[in-house]
Amino acid sequence: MSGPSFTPILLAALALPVLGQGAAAQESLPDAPYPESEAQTHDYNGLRNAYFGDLHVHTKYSFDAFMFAVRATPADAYRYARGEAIRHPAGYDVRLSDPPLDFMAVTDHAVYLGSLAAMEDPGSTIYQHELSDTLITTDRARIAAAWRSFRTLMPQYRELSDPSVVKWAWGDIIATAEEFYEPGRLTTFIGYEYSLGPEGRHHHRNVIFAGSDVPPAPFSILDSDNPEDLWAWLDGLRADGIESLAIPHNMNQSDGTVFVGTDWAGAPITADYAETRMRNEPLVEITQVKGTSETHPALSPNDEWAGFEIVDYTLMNGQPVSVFKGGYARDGLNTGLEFQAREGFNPFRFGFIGSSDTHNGAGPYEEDNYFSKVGLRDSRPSYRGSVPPGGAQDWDVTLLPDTVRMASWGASGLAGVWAEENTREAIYAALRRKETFATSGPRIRLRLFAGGALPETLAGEAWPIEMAYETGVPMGGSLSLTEGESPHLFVWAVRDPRSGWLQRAQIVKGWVVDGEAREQVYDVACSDGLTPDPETHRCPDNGATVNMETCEVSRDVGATELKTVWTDPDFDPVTPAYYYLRVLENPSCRWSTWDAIRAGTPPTPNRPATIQERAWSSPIWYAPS
Amino acid sequence: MTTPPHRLLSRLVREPLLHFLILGAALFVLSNTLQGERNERSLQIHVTGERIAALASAWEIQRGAPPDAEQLHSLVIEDVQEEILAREAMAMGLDGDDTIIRRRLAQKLRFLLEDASLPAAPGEGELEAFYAAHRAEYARPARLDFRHVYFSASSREDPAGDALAAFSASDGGLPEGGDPFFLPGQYRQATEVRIGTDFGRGFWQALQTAPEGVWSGPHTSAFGEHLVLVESRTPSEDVPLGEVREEVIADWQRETQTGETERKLHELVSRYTIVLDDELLAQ
Repeated sequence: MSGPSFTPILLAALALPVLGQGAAAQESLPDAPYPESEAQTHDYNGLRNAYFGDLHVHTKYSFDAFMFAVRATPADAYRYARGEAIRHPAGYDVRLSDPPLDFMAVTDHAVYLGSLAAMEDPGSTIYQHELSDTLITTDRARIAAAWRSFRTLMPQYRELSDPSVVKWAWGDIIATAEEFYEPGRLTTFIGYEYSLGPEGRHHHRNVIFAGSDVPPAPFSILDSDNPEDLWAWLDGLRADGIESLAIPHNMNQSDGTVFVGTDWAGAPITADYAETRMRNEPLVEITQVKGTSETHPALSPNDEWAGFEIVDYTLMNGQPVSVFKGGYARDGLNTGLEFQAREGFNPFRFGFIGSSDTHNGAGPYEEDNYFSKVGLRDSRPSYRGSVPPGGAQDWDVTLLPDTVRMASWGASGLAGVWAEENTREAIYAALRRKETFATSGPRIRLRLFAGGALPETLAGEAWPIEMAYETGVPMGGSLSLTEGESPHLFVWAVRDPRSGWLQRAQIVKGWVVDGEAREQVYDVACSDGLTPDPETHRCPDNGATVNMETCEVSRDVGATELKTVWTDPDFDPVTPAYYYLRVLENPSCRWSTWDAIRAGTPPTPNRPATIQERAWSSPIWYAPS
Repeated sequence: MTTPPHRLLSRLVREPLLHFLILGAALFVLSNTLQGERNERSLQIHVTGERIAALASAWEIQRGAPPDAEQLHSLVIEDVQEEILAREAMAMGLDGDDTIIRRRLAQKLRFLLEDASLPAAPGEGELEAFYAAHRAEYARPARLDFRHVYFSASSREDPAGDALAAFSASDGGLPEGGDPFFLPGQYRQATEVRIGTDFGRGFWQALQTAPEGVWSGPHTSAFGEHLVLVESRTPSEDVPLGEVREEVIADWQRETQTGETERKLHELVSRYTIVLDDELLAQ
């Protein structure tokens, strides 16, 4: 994301007189409208603050990261979160230009955890293992060959996932998370990735532990290649007092196999299955570098913004995705509603987060500060398809398929949570109650509440949040209505002061007609004093533009905040429904355009030159009683 | 390894290729005694019991079972062949133009330099000096307690004018007529990072000049104008060494190690005369 110029605002500040001599503050100040309580930090706010983080970060302990010449440690990843510069394997420093992150989890692949790193550790049982010459290289040209060798060779060498190796890496991951946890400044979570990918179809999920109490080793696909066994393991830990949750990601690369009506063995889903799944997987990661899994134009033809940062090939074998249904979150929510209507239970009642999936220990969340995510492989614009290869000045060249695919990756995303303060307890509780949101990188903050008795005048109240909690449920919650009530939704979003202005706020609604899910996108608040057309439910164009020579965006177009109370005009109390909020910024340059402008070449013709950065709230569900 | 070493050795002693190699080496040594010890050593391959045990154990780790005698002896043959090929290749200078070998060797030496540069724990004096030089990095950042009333740039024609009017009308008390603000109306112990994240660049700076204990403004944020009551300021505060000792030691070690590695590398570089054909660089 790129910050528009702040100079005019700063100049205005200088020109204004600063007042304030004279009378002392009076005693009659209203108390902050929230209860004081046993806070751990100064940030404590009973009405909750928005915190931003990344729950998907790989370091050198991931076998693939190590193959990409990444040597960043978990400590480096947390330093990056704190705003410090760390070294990219290609030799340059990477650093957030936005403020530090509030929370982070290092989530290395449990399978072959630390295996490649251990081959270079003299204390390890597999130091200088015979595969190290084949698999470990700092020569970019050899990485592809090493990768191919890896897939055939690794399974033949059981000692590579020797318990001593796993223990060494896992021990460092735990110790580092503990060391860098600083309540009020940076919350760290101990975590890892369960990387299941039958026939190249992504069924990956990150396991995030609530506290310091964690098992001696992660449960990996070498333990079982059935996610239901993972849930059983997590349930077992929970019974022993070790709390955690799992967060699926890259459903877009599952070829439509994540949100389906059957269990892993192919039997129809039961109520028990739904409960187990939702107990262990209350959230999904809907946006990250390897694409956005909210929805796809083929699934949502009436959603003009559905084609956002779509990655439509499977990662492991580079094949085009052929089935979109079952691979995107909105479709999953829809299928969940159909279950709710038909069976009375919902196996897909999940909230949203975003994260990066960086393999550099450093997430590239900013369009104008993008360095992609797989070490040496995509370390230069020409490697990642944003600038023509070989010094060419135009796109009349032959591109490697890999380069074209990497150009489809995005500078995304972040996990947002509404929590009382920046501590493990408060943030984990927010994840559990799904009071979470996702962004494509900018720190857009958004609130969503729904309630039958929620006042329609709420948007004009001086302290709307307290009243919203009293009369409604926040994002991630369940709406109950008394007879005759319609849901009122309180929507409030503010821009990231360092990113673009907001264009529109939308409610995405799903419901069921004759057993089949329907979906509809309603624009509910528009920038620049515009109002949505009551027939089309669309805001008129606000006229925002992007200068394609400089990436400068139009000033004085767009909103710093969008706020409204929206009443569902089509509410039908007898069918289940969900509502989530999506907020769009004005268009701005995509990372690939920034790369091209810096190189003096035209932007890639294979991707849009601009995008609309955005944020998504977790849904609120309604089920007829 | 389950096979007793003496049996393996007896097996090896019967191996014809080994006989040939040993015999060849011996003949070579005999006929070249005048060529000096250096040459003599380089043409002898001494397969130690330790080496054989290592080969066997590597096999066992990888295959899950110890090698039988036949497997072991082919391991030894391969190992001897590899050693001879490597030595001959180096004698022919084949390593000279190989970037992978060059990079690997350079990397090995760099690791050695880094290891050799890892300092022990710092002396108390050293630690204190380091802490004193980096005091600001360990300091608790400055903090601010304040309340504010917001005048939205989105919904007002002239938010600054409205804020001024509200300020004048309030006679030093709580200004009225502000807009609801998305973020808290009251901040406690807020750092520059927190305020920058929430209000945008510049707001922290603006609040630095605001008087304490009275309402002031308007101050401009990314969202509009704010009348602000700065309740108290906590200046940046040094954290005593005792509270951050471990962090300081880790930083000292990292910095000392980096510096020491660089120094050693410099020392090596200084032994060389570097002739730079700078035509290309100059372009």
